[in-house]
Amino acid sequence: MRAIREPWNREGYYDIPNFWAWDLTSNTFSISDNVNAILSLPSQTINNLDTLKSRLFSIDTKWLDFNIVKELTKNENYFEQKIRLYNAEGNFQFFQINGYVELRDALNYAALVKGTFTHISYLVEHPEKLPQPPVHKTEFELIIKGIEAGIWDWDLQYDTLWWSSKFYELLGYQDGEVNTSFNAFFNSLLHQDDRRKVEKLLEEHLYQRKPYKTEIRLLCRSGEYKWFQTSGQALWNSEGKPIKMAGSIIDITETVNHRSALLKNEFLLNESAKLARIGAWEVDLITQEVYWSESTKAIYEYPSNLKTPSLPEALLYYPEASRDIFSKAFNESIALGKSFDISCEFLTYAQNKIWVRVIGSPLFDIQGTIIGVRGVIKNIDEEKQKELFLQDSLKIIHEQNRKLVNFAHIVSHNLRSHTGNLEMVSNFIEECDTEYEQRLLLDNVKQISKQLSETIAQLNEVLVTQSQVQQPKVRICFDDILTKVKSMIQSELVLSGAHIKSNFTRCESVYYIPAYLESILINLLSNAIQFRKPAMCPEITLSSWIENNKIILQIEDNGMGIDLEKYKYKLFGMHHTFHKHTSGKGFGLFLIKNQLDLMGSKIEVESQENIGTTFKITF
Amino acid sequence: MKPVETICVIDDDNIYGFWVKKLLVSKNFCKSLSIFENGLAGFNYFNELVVGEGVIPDLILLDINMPVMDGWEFLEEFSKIKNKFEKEIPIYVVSSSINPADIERAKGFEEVSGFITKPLTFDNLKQIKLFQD
Repeated sequence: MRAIREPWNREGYYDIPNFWAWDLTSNTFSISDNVNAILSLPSQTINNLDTLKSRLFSIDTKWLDFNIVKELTKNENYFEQKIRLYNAEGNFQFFQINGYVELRDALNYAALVKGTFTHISYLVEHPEKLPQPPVHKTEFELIIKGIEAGIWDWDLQYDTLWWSSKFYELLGYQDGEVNTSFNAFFNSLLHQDDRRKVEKLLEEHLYQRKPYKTEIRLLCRSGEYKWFQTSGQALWNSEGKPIKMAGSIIDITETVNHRSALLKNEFLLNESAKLARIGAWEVDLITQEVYWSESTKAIYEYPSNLKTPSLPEALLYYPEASRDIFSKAFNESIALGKSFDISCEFLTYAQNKIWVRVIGSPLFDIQGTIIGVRGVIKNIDEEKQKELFLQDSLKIIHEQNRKLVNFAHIVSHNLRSHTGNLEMVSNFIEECDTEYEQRLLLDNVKQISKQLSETIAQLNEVLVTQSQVQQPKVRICFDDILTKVKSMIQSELVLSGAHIKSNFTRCESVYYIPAYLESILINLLSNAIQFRKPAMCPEITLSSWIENNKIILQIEDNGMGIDLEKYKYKLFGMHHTFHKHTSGKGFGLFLIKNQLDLMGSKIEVESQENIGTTFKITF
Repeated sequence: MKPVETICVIDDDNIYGFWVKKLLVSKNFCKSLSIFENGLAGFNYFNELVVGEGVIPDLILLDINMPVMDGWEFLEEFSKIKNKFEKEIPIYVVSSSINPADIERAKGFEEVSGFITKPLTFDNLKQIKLFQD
């Protein structure tokens, strides 16, 4: 057996090729006997086409097919193929076949092809012995090192795959730590669920030249999968056969995680917004377009299939007062770049007035110019209605409380002033020496008890007044009630010689509690008579009319008048009047103020000393 | 305790007026007493004292709730003329009121030395600083 010269011991490349020749017209094939030596076969084992084919790896058979070779050489004089031949042990060895057409027949088909064959198994198994990809010029090296992407280079001819060190790094490996063959990549590193996709995309790229770009999961050294985006570009030879493909991978684990977190958040946000009745909105200042999220539309009872209104249209959904509030906040936001947070009313598409809280912040472009406003709205109608109801209740409670405290003080004060006197007087019972003093003391006790009864009666009257508010309101003609009241105070009228004039033509009646109106008229008329100017007949004029949709009753006299600057705050009070011991006169104004208050009516007074007083009641 | 010369009572309640006079004189708090039925009557007296002759009272017992001019108004008017007297005249507010707002308001006047809730008795008269020596 001839010694085989090691073909790879020379720095560089292939061994000196061995030769073959194939006469296609006679189908005779000859090959250097060296092929038998390489395959450790006896000399002349392979010596023609048939014996060659019998050693050929079945998949590669087609490469020595007569018709294929004819086809291959139809337009080209040169061709090359890789084939595998079984050696004596039954393992196959890689051979590179190069061929050229030496003769063509009349139909221009190859008639005689000749070529070389080279044993390349070692090189296939030791790709580092192959020349490095030609891109590794200094600049490219820098780029490859610098970029955050792993670079791969796949030689389809030799089935070798090269990774840049960044590629290894991305997967957590040291440079060259793992086998980077395509098989290893495909079967060990690529996530099972991504294999079919990659296979399909590669095929489409290599044979249909569709772009190759996809997201894949690769197994890292740590044992976990990471997401990468990979893309690549093949290089085809003149026959259209892909010979090489190169590309990159980028770690997108964070992006994918963000993306799924985003999706999750978006879902949560939508669901919570629905639950919390919160919606998002945005106004594009350039296009004047308005964006309302689905939940915003739901809050506004706006059909979700309807186009969102433009900014001016959207503003019309705010009732006038609210529109001003919103416009002011919105314009300030645009002008000053301020955020706002307002509560106002909104008229929904279904014409329901609801309270909403609108929060907004300006949107800036990259130059810092405000280009829009974005924010959220919340339906706070229920809360607001409750709040308003509570405010009203609180007001009423405060007012009631104030009145109660006031009343308690009045009761306490007025009763105490009498009991105080009683106590003082009784302290002197033993010390009264003279008959005169004893009689005076008894008189005083009687007087005090009378005052006490009066006071209690008055306080009772206040309480009665409070309970009368439950009585039904009826339509009362001013003329009728005046006639009745005049008869009740007839003696006072006659004694004072009072003239009462009335004009109720502009408004003849009022809807009120009769007992109150009666008490109001009696007290005001009595006051007018009591505080008349000395030696002058009182002139009292009553009139009624309607002002701002409210009924007005006015009682005007020509009496002494009151110094309003001094007594404005005391006029309707109860305190000092009791102390005059003029049997409760002046208690009246306190009482009627109470009655008017209970009915939500208003009483105003104008007066000039020595000219007269005018009371104006707004029912 | 030495009785003071004159006490001035300003109160519209004539029953109170009669018996307070008896109390102050019989228990020897003062030698004489002048009673005014409202703030204005009381103020007029002091106003005349500024220009004319008369006894300057040693103490004023002032009611709050009175017609025409009440105790508060009296205090305001009095504060304008008080510096014209050669001696300081202590004022005690004597009222039926137990309203804390009234007591606070009385304390707000620097002329007011104290607040006594009616009825006026021997014991609470003894609280007055003037009668403590």
